[in-house]
Amino acid sequence: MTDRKKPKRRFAYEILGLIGISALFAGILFLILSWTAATIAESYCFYNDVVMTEFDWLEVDRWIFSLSGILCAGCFSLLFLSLLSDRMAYIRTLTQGIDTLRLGQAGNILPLEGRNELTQLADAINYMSATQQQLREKEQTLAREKEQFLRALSHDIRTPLTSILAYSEFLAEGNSLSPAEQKQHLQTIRRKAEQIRDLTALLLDGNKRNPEHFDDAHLLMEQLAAELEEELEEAFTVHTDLSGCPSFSGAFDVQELHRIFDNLSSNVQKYADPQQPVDLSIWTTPAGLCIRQTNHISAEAGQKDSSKLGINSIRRIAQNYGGKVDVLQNTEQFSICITLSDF
Amino acid sequence: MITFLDLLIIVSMVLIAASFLSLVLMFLIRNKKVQRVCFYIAVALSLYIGYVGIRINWPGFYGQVVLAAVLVLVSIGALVLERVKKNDGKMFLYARIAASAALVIGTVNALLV
Repeated sequence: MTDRKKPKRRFAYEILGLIGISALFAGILFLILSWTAATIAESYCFYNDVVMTEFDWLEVDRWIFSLSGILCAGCFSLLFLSLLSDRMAYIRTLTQGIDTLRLGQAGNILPLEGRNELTQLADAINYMSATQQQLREKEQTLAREKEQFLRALSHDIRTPLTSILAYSEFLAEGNSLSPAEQKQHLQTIRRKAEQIRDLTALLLDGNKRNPEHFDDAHLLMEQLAAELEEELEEAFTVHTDLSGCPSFSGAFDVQELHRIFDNLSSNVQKYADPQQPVDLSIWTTPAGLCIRQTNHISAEAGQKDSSKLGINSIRRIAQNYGGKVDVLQNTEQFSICITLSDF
Repeated sequence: MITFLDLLIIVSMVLIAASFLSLVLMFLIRNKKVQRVCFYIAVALSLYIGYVGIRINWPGFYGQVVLAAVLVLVSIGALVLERVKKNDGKMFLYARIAASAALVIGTVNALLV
């Protein structure tokens, strides 16, 4: 809203001005008419040899003045009403602006004409319109973000759920499993169930983050890499490289890191070629922590539709750490590099 | 009873009042539609005044006849300019000025000189 504390000119004075202008022009017209008519009358009498007495001239003058007065009064009214109507057109524009605002069609900018109260009103309407527009945009952004969050979280909840289903089926069928293996699978199921519980809590809390400080985050990375290996070991050969990741400290939300690795695991299971190894490298740089996973794409991967929800979820988490996600993909190979900067 | 003198005065006064009003409104009103209506009225009046100027000064006052003819041409030129350059505000201003000049000078030429 522009700074218009006080109108420079009041609307009432403008109306008075219009009356003054109309009166001025009417006065000028009166003078022109009376003088012209008198001149015409004199010329007519002169060229037509009409002799008029003083009384006749007085009569003509009275005629002329009366007629000039009537015409000027008419002109004054017409002129004033026309000028007033011209100013009233701006009020109609303002009314239309308010109607537009009432209908919720924000973004309508009214022209600022003059420097009076009406201009202030137009300015206020423009301000309201702009505010309404901003609010609407904010609402839309929030709704979009909420939808994206829910979609990503739903996707992330499904990933451990799939693992639970797979392991429970495996346990149900696998009579040849040793008690130690059964215990290990049950622990995995439990871990995945806890993950689902935490993700559901996250859903209820509305994306509330819970970063914890780790004096040696290298151990955390080792554990996450080991869990990924464990999940994929049945069908894939995983090469893990943590040589570039010495001991370092930082604050991480374990839940978020789990989601990253779960999404990586899920993508590998869906699209990777089991005949080729899956590489996972974790290393630190001055820019932060980098996690890169590469795999060959299976021949069937092209037939599966990908909504990119997993990658988008990883991208959102990376953004929480002021980081980024770079994806390189061709017909044969897929590579994703996740950089986490602020931790 | 109304004489020819009375009629002449009435007609001239009405003409002058209408001309004056159309000229004032043409320049003071911001509404484009009203401006155009006033412009057409001014052009029509200037053409009529030009015709009157030629009619009453023929034969004898050839200078005034020529001036009236020129003013008629100026009015037609203003009309053509307005029609050709419909959306050009500057050209419309020139057309209005030309029509106003033709009307004022034509009135003086026909009725006062």
